[in-house]
Amino acid sequence: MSRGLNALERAIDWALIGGGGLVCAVVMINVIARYLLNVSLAWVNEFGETVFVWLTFLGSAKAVRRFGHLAVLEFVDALPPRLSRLLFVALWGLTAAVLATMAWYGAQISLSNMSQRMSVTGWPVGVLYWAMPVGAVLMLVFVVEQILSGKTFRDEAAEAPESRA
Amino acid sequence: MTFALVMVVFFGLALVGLPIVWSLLVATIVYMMMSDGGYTLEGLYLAFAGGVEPFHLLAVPMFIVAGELMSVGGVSARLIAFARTCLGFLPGGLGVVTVSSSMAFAGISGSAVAGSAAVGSVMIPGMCRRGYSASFAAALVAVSGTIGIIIPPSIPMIVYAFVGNVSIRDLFLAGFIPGILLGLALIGYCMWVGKTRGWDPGERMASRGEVWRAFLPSLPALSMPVVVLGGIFGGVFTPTEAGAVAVLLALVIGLASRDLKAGDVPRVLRDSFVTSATVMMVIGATTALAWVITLEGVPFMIVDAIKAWTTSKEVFLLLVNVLLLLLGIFIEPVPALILTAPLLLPVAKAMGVDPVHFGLILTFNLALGLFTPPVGGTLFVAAKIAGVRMGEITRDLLPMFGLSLVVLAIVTYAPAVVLAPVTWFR
Repeated sequence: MSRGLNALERAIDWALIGGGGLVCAVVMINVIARYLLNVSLAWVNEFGETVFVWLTFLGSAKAVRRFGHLAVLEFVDALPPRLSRLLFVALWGLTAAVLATMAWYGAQISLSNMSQRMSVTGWPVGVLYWAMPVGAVLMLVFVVEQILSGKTFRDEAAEAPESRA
Repeated sequence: MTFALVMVVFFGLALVGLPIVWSLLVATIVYMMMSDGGYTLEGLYLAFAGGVEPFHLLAVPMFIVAGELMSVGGVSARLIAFARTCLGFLPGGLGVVTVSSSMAFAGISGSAVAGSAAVGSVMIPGMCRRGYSASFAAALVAVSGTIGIIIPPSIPMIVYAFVGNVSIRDLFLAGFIPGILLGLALIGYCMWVGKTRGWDPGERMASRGEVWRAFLPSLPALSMPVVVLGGIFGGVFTPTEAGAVAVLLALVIGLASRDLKAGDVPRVLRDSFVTSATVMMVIGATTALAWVITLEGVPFMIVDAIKAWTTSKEVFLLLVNVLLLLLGIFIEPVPALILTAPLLLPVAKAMGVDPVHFGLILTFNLALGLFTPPVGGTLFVAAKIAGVRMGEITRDLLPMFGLSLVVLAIVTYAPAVVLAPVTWFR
């Protein structure tokens, strides 16, 4: 199972790299085009917003797997292993429940926005909203993986990146 | 009353380790179930998506990417070399160099932790070799790194601008004077410490030729704030576009100097967008919570409650400072900002506080939270580089914390001074 999920995580990595690079480039090109060619690329805002929302939910899934979400761990760091595990399972179960509602209602929102069009690109507005249920399902998968693989807050404290914005 | 219970749910969950984004969502869902406003989960998630989609928030990941590229690309090393040539002769010279390079880095990066890591990794070992105590070196890096979010660009300010519906440009302009004041206060303290403790009498003064030779390689880095901030203030591009310009400049400077390898770029992009995603998710969840509490009229209740207690602007601001300093001890600036701004800003406006000034007060307060023990971003980074314990750092932090409080008092009670650049450009 973990090998398949590693591949999934790598796919997310490449989406983040590609999408992130693209969105930086597009905004930059818009500045250059405005000053050198005197044209304003009207689609940049809609395109940028759509890619950005996808990057946010995909990046959030990656952050779930790598324990990157902002959390206060100082009070649970020192818990004895059994208690730490119990609390971890309870809280991650709660997270899974929240994510399930996010996936379900996110899909409802996306479906009901498929016929509405963005004003410049003409894309269905739902294309932007689909990022939420897709991201929520990915996050849910990683949360369940962490519950099943016996993780505790100690793992989170050990793996959490220190450079949070 | 219901609202107080919701806050208890949120803090209860967050303090036992549930990530802040889920703590916020659970608290919001509890609130929805307890009130009879007929809220739906569909409305909740629609508000969530509305919080993460605005185009101008793209400035957040872009300034993170630019800052990371510059850390990897040796920009900080060159800024430090230049600062050392110019200021190393002062008593406490290496301390002065640490603070002044942090200030220069603050002008190109919007994150305090990035600044502490970039400057600290060079300067902490350097100061220790010269004879400074490791705990003093760590404390100085932890405090001076926070200038990164006070001097523009600043990621917390971009977020506040969105939450508070204020101009990013005005906020950025407001950051200059407080950031420079804090930097000068720390520089003065370093000179005094270097002299009285005999750690660092200062180096030989550099010749004009040496200054020139150190200046040339740091010129591209030093010109970045001029281009990026000048572009924003001059109306050449929006803050979001400035982020993209900063990314391009950092990329060109890094690759041209060969300190940045093309192979580093994908990793920087990936990590930066993950960091920004964690921030954006908290923004989304807070937007959802704000949607419910606004419909329930909570901000008005808070305004009434505080007005019944005091009508003095000065007392209110004192209250805000105490509350934020306490909150900042445990929670990082960006989430703390998104949590408090929607609740406190209406009160501040009702009391006649300028929203730009209020944003500056919030940012400065939460910057202090980055180094107040036991928890804090720049504190952790500096302590880790120096290999010292929290207890040791705390003693050396106290005088610097005192200086920061003096600057905070100026920021809070002398708006005419700190907001002067905003009025010049209006």
